[in-house]
Amino acid sequence: MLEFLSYLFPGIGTLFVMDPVTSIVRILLIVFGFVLAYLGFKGTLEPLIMIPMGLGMIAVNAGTMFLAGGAIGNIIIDPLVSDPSAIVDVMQVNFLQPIYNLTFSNGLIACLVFMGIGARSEISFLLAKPWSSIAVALFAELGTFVTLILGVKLFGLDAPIAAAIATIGGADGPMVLVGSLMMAPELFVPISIIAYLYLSLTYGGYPFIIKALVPKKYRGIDMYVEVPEVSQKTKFTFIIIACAFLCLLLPVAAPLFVSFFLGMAVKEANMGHYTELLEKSLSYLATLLLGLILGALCEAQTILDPQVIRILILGILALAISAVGGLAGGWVMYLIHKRKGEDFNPTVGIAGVSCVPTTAKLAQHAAQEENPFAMILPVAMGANISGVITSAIATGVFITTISMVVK
Amino acid sequence: MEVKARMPGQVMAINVAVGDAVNAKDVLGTIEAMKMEQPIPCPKAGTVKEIKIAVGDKVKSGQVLFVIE
Repeated sequence: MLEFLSYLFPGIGTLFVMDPVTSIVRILLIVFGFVLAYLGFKGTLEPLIMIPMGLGMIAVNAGTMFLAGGAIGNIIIDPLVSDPSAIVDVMQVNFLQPIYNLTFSNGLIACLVFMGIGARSEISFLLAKPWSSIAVALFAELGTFVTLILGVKLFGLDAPIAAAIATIGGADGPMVLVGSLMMAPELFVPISIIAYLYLSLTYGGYPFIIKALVPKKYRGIDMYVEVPEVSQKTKFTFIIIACAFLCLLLPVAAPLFVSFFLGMAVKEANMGHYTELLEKSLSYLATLLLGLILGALCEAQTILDPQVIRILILGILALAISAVGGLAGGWVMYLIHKRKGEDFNPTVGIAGVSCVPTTAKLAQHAAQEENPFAMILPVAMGANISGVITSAIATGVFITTISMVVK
Repeated sequence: MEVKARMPGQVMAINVAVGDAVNAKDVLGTIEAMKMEQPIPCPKAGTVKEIKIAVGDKVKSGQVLFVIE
């Protein structure tokens, strides 16, 4: 009778057949998925990612069943299939398998998101104060480099794994996805999920770091900048040259660069349909599937990996150190500008952490809170865009150099 | 006194009409750029004398948006 029931309701039945720890983790992940989806709904966490991710997590852990041959699994996704003919077979069964196999390991899904980010970015903000923007963005990579060292020296991780986790410090979800897939494919699921989770948390956490490191008086500094009127032709030319230059320099990150700059180029060329496609349709489709698949990859077995706890600690450190680094960059720029008798609000530093456009918004909010007339958004967005590029460079450098270390 | 745009973008809303009495820090309108809406605060108390923009307009940084007297 009991056996019959467990076959009739395999989702519940499998709980009793699996080893107890896995079963408990399955239940916890269902609850966790619910919490993530709900916090997304409430707007505490980024709903664009968290709602599909939460539901994916619930579905995969609830929808476990007996498969042919008595194996336990689901018909959603199986990340462990690697044999080509087995992949073709499993694509006929698991509904997310085609997207996973065809868009994840090659980074296509991240590139689609990147095209959207490019189409949304306004390059003239970068040109308003190019050197300060780039300098601040470089400072904001501090977390990436410090985490790599901490991971190797303190946690005893292998260099590629530490480097993959360190990319969280670049604060770009798609970049973490690509970086971890290339450097630590066996850990890319927990690394990416933790990255997205933490990135959602920056919205709540970073204002505290800003307040701790930039006194009230300085937060309200207004910045008079003329965003230069650059012709679209100049912008377009700049975009093409920057793309060519960066691809030449770091071929491993070429897919990311070309996606990002293609988005920008399309916008400057006034190709309305393409801009809309990239910005509104494609990048949202990619984000939706990204969230759903990341959630569906959260099977109990994956999460029980002992490395997860290290990723949790190093990930948050990476983001916190990058914030501190960015703000330090903001202070350095403040001092440099002060010598020239110009105003520079150190809060801009946070925008060097390239979570577009969240951190630029946070910088402006922090300034506006103290001084309603303060306008630092243009410079902050310049730093933000530079941040995307420096993060891509850092990830590219990691992938290139780490593979040399390993060989 | 002229109220100028502090960043390039698109006019999303205009909250005042010509002849309205406004106070300092009142939000005259909003400008959007890169999916971010920024309020345009009124620099001082006075009356709206002129509105030089319409909703949907693209503005340049430094362009005059409102004239307050």
